[in-house]
Amino acid sequence: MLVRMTIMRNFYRLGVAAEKTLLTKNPGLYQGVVIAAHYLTYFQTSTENFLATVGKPFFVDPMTYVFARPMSLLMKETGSMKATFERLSRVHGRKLARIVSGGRSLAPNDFMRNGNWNRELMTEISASVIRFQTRLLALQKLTTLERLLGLADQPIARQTPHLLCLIPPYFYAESLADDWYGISLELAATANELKENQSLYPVVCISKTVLLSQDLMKIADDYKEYDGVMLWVSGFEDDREGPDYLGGLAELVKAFRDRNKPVYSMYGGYFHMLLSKLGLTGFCSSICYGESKDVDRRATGGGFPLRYYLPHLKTKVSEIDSRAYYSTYADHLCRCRVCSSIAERIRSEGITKAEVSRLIDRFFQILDMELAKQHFMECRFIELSDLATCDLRSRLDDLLSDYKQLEPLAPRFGRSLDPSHLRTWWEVLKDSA
Amino acid sequence: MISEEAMSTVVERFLRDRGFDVLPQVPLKTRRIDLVCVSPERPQITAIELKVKDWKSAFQQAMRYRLCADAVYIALWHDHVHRVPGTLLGEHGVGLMKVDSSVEVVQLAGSNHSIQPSLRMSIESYLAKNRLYVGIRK
Repeated sequence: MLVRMTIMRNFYRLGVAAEKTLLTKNPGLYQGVVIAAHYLTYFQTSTENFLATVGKPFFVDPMTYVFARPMSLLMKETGSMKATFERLSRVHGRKLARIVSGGRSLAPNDFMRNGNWNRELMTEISASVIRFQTRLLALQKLTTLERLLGLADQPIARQTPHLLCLIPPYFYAESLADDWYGISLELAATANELKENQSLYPVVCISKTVLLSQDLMKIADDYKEYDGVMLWVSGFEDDREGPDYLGGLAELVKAFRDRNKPVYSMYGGYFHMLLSKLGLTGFCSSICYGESKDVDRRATGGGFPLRYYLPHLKTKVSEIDSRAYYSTYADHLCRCRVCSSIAERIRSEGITKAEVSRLIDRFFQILDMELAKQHFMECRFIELSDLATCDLRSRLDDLLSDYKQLEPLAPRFGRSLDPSHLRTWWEVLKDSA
Repeated sequence: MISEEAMSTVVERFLRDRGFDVLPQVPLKTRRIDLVCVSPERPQITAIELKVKDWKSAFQQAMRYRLCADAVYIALWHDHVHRVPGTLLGEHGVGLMKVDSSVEVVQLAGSNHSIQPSLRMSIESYLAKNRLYVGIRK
C-alpha cells in the first residue's frame, strides 16, 4: 500500500513569558512560533531575542480583526483601552488609530468612499501592517542581542530566525456576502503589492456556518493567487463540532490542496493533525490551551488552571478529570519522557503499580503547570511523528478502537471525558482514507 | 419548582439532626462539592451532590467525589427519584437520598477504594479551617 508521507508543521503561539523558556528548552518538539502583534508591541525586545535564540520560523498575527469587533474587547474593566491594543492601533496607521481612539470600532463604510474602495485607508493599513512585520526581518542585525551575547560569560549560540510569511490585514466575515469578506480580500491584494520578495499568506477568518455553505470552492478560488493561506474558523473546536462542520473544514482544506497552495490553520487540535493527510500544511495553538478561538472571546488574563492532555482521548481536561480518567484506565498512564520520569520517581518512592489510587495521586502531586505543558509538547510531537509515518486509514482505525474502549467514560463522567469526538472524526474522514 | 438551595437547607438540617457536622460548597480543585459532612462517630467524610432532577449530572459529579470522600451520595427532589437506575448507583457505590420536606436515604453508599490521599487531605484541611474535624470525638 502507498503510504502518504506528510510531515505537518506545528507552530506554537507565544503566550505567557514562562512559555519562552519551555520553547527555548525544547526546540526539537515544534516547527515554528506565532506572535500576536499586540504582544509584540509590548514585549518587542524580549521577543526578538527569543526568536534569535530559538531560530525557528515564525510569523506575526497582525490582529487587525479585533478593531472591527465590539469595542468592549479592547477595553479594560475600568473603561479605558488596554495598553497593548492602544499601541497596536497606532502601529496599524494613524487613520485606524484615530477611529478607534474616537471610541468606535471600524465599520465597512470606513473602507468605502463614493461607492469605491477607500484606497487611502486600505493602503495605509496594509503598508503599516506589512512594515511592522518586515521590521523583524532585521533580526539578523539585532544590536540589543549582539550586545547581550557579547556580555555573556559563556558563548551563546545565535540562530537566524526565518519569517515564514507576511500576514496582510484581515477581518472576520460571517459569510461571503458579509462586507468584511470583500474588504479582507481587497486588503490582501493591496498588501500583495507591498510584499517584495516575501511570501504573503492572507487569513481567511470566517464563521463556522460558512463551512456548511456552497462557498468553499469560491473561497479557494478567491485566494488562489497568493503564496499560501491561513484559515481561522471562529470558535471551531476539534473535539466539539458535529460531522457537518468537520466535513466542511476538510473540504476547504482539500480545495486549497487541489490548487497547490500551502494552507495553515491559525488554531487547531488533533483533528487538524489528521487533516495533514488531506493537505493541511500546518497549524497553530498555544501550549496546552488555545486550540480554538472565537473572534469575540475576551482575553481574561490571570492564567489558566492546570489542564492535562490525555493522549488516548486526544483532548485536555482538568486535573480532577485526569485523576478520574486514570483511576478508571490506570494502564493508560502516559509514557512520554515527562510522564515516564514522573513514574520513575514514584517507583523510587516505593509505590507500586498495584496501588493505583496512591500512584495516580502522587503523579498529579508531582505534575505542575510546566510539566503538564511539556507533556503536551512531547505528546504532540509524538503524535505528529506517528502521523507522518502511517496512513490515514490505520490512524482512524486506532481512533475508533480507542473510542470503543473509552465509551463507558461518558455516562460515568459526562461531557468533559466523553470520547464521542473520536468516532465523529472517524466517520467524517473514513471516506477520504 | 424547588431550588437546589432550598434542598440544601433541608438536607443540611436532616444531617445536623443526626449529629453530623456539615459544610456546604467545599472546594475540590476547580470544582465544589455541594455538601460535605463528617460524623462524630466515625473518621469518615461524606460528599453529597444535590440536583433537583438531573440525576445523570449528579451521578457524574458524585463519581469525581469518590476520589476524595469515603461515602458519596446524590440527593434528588422526590418527584424525580424513580428515574434513577439503582443498579448503576450500586455498581459504583454511590448512595441516593430522596428529598422533600425531609430526607429519606433510599440507597446506602457503598465502600470506596478510589480515594486519592492528597485530595482527601485537602478536604480535611479545608474542613479543619472551618472547625470541622474528621475523627472520632468523645
